[in-house]
Amino acid sequence: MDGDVEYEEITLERGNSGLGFSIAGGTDNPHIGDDPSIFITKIIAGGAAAQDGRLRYSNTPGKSVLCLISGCPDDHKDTSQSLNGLINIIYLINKLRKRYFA
Amino acid sequence: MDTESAYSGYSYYSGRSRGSHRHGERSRDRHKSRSKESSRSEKSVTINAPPAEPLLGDQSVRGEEVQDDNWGETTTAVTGTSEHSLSQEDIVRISKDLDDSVGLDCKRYLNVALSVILGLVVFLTPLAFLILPHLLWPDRLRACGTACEGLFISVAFKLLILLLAVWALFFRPPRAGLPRIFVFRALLATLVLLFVLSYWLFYGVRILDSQDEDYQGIVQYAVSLVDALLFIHYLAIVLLELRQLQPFFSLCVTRSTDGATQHYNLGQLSIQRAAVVILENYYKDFPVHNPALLAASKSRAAKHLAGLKVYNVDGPGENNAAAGIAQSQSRAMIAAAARRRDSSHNELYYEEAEHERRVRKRRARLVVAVEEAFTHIRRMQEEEQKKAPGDVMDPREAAQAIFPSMARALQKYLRTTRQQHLHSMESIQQHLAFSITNNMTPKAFLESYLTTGPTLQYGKDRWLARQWTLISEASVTSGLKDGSVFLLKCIDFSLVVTTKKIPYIQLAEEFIDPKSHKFMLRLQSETSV
Repeated sequence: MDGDVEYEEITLERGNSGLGFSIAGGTDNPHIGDDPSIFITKIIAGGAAAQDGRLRYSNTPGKSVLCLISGCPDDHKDTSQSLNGLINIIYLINKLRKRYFA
Repeated sequence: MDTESAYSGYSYYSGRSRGSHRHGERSRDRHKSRSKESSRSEKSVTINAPPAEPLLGDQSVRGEEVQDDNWGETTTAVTGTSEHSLSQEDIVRISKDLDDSVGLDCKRYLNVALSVILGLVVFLTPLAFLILPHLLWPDRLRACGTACEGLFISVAFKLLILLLAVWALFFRPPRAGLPRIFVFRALLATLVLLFVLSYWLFYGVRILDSQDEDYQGIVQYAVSLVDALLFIHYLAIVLLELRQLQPFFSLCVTRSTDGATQHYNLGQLSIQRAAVVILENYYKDFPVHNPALLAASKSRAAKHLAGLKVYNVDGPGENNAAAGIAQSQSRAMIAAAARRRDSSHNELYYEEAEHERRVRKRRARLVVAVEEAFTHIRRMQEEEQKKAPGDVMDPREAAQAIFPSMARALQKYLRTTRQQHLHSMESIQQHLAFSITNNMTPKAFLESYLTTGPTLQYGKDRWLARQWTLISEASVTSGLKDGSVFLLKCIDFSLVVTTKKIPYIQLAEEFIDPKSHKFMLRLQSETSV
């Protein structure tokens, strides 16, 4: 674990309606300021992620950033495609970035 | 106070059903008889009563004659309270009238006399300068040429302008009598006096004594005097009128009895002049002072410490411990009162809720009654005026005709909101006639009764406090300063005034190019996975 980030590893099983959350962000369309990371913006009620409970809604810097095992992506389209393509079990690492105090 | 309200509440509830039933009957009777003759005989014996009596007094007479159930309402202590406050106001009014007639008037007349004398001296001086050579040494005087005679015209017109300007600035009816002299005016008067005296001195020495023959020089001297007087008048305008126009201080005025607060922005004035401005605005901005509304909190305050008694268990101590005992007694009382579980907040809450409900109910009845009353009359058209001069009424008679149908509801509402001493029956009828004449709707007529207006709205006899006392730690002729506090006291209450300086405002400028407003659509940023 880095000095100021925490990783939380979450495994989800794909449910009937997909994984059950929405992502936003990316280099060409930054969600917050000029941070290109992918953020989790909505957790659909009743979906797999909501039932799991560990995935958290993130809208401010310093909250949950989505990272996969291969690293933290910064391209929206690739990430969504890879997440949609996976069939059953997905490893997600929920990266909690602590706020930097200047 | 509790028993009083409980008693009146009981009689209200018991009487209400019967009263309303009877009211309904009576209104039906009235409708029937209205077409035949005016309804003045029905239920309105008191309309022809002497006009100056307050509404409540009439109601008690009416209650005896007409209804039994109204007896309970009119003979509770509420009637007694309002009568007491009325008589106290009468006493206050009498003593105030006595005070007014003596003392201040001679100060005012002295001021007027002095200023008139000064004005005459100043005005006649240039004329004297011009005329005296002709009187004293006419043979030696050199003839006045063209330029000199032109100067005569200039002197005449400048004197006329000066006369008009002085009349406009100084000869206005005084607004107020100030406790100390008005410093700027005194300074200006002294300046003018010194100025004119020095001119006379010069004239006396250099012209009268030596009997100068150069008449043109004398005329020019007189013209210079008039010019200088005009400039002094300009100085007077700047000092007396213009300097305080720019707002510099913000004054916060609070009434001591009920906390009504207003803010005023004033310029650099002396404390007494600021007090005059505040008092002029008091009569139009502050809601009228109603002592009947303050009684409730006083009775609550009396109850807080009423049940506590302090006993000194240790026996009588020495004399020098007496102060200590008294202090510890009062502290013990405060502590005990704080710890006591009293439920007065509960009572207050329910009492206020109940009062609010009652006021709203009576207000609804009043609005309906007035609307219905206004439908009974209509304005006569021009053509009808020529044809049927039968049942024609002027506004006052029309008001008297429809007044009975709303009188009871209005009086009940005024009593509930404790405004009954502010409106006499005569004033209500006058206001009704006024509303009818000016085509006001019922809502416009009711506005002055539903909301308490400023003191100006009520009759001149309500302006009880015209004698005010200025209480200030700083001298009243000194200027306002940041943080200065003074009091304006009248008999019933006082106004607390605090001063704050308006901060220096530093405005910065930022230019935004209108072409720089550009927008872009946000791409569909969320994807569901």
